[in-house]
Amino acid sequence: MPNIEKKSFDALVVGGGIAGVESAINIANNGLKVLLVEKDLTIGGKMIMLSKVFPTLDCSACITTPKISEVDRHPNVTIMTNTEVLHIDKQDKHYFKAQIKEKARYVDVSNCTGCQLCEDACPVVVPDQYQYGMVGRKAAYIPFNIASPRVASIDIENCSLCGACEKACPTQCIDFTQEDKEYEIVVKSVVIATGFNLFDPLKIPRYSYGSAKNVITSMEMERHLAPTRPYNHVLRPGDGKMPDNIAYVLCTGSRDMTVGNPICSQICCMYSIKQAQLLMGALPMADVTIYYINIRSFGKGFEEFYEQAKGMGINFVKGKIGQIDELENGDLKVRYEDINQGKLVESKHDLVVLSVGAMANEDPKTMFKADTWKQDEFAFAQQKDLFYTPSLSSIDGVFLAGTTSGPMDIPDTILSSGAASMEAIRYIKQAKVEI
Amino acid sequence: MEKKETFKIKRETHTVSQRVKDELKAFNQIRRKILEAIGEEELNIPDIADKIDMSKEETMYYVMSLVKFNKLQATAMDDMDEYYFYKIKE
Repeated sequence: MPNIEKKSFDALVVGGGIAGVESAINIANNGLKVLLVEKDLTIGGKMIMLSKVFPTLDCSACITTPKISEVDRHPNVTIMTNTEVLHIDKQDKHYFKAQIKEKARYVDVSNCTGCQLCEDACPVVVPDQYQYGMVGRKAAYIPFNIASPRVASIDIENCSLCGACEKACPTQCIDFTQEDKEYEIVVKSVVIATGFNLFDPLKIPRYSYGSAKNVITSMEMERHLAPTRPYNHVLRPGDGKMPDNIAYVLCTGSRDMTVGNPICSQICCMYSIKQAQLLMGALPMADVTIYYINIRSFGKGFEEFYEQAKGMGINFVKGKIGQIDELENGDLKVRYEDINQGKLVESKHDLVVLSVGAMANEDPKTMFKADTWKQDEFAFAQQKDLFYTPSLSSIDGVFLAGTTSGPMDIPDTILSSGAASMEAIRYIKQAKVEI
Repeated sequence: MEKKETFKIKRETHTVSQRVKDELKAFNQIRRKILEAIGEEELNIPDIADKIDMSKEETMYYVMSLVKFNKLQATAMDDMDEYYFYKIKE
């Protein structure tokens, strides 16, 4: 196990997104030892994949990477990526045992310089999950340029074992003899920062996602707009045409009992308005229409941001989408109910973006013994008291950071992580046991 | 320094699936077709798709992958400002 000299820590932070990173830094800054575990190959979570943040339009990566650099260099933080938490068992007050599995990366992380020569040499091409399959990647690959750690990994399921990467590697860091490893970790406290899942739009077949080539999700559009984008410009995935009439469908999978999710995802209105503004910059001649039920601009500066979008010429239509159909040329026919005029209307767009909602990530449920980890009716982590102790979970000593407990935007995630880490610090300092 | 050959050790315990072999073969064929179709020209996605008899969506995926792997590069847009042209990277 790299960089871990002892197997006991003061805190285990599960999840390396912005909530986990913020929590780990806060706890470590108080002189406590933290193990940060991330199941992906890189920390940074969803935030590092975003283009910009609302309502300031600051570069998302520019905010995330200093935090990631800070946690990466922190002497009190040990980071394990490509690692899953299998079980967390509470042994006694202030004493948890966690079983974790570090999956083989087939690369010696300490020797990899991130030169990408293995990537150049690798002959295998598979869809790049970090670009939502819009472009390919190699079986020997670095997730993306600002990944942390920025080191290669071998996708063994898709590897042809040709040995080209190993021959090309100048530091001889490729090692196919690596195997998965399991560890038992003893900690005094746990912070759960496992984030949220995006709604799967295949669950609404009438929106034609997956069958109509130019219906994409908002996260795919984020990638189009990000500096580490899959294409050279914003282009339709169906044929490479530069779109000039783009529609957004808000509340895809949110506030919708037909898919079992009646709650508002809190972020979709504003990220859609943000993307629409960015599109007006990237495609100055494009028309952008946002179909909405209600615009919920509840945060600081949000209403002004919405007004700014209207002033830029973005068309807001209060309408509920009934059906999206693909036309022969790849354009989309959108059939909707115009709520203000009370009639059914059809319109044509050449790209449709589904503003997908935030759903609960139920991973923590499998980590704890049955009946100890409680969830709310929407499968998010149950908070002990929503108003007074929102960071406390149903298990004493386990704290909730960020969207583990419900949808929230980035500033609220940072606040929530601050609260969770402070509760964890208080809990650890009260510990009377030495582990 | 002597080069390791740990991939040979892995071969003893891990069988490369037929799917991986088939996909590797298919990608190499498609790559060759696309590069031959473009040749000395500059073509857009619909033109390339027509030439290699593949759907525009699939062509887009492979052309963009070849751009990413530095085999192709985007040049100018057409007169209608709709499609980029792509050529072989020198």
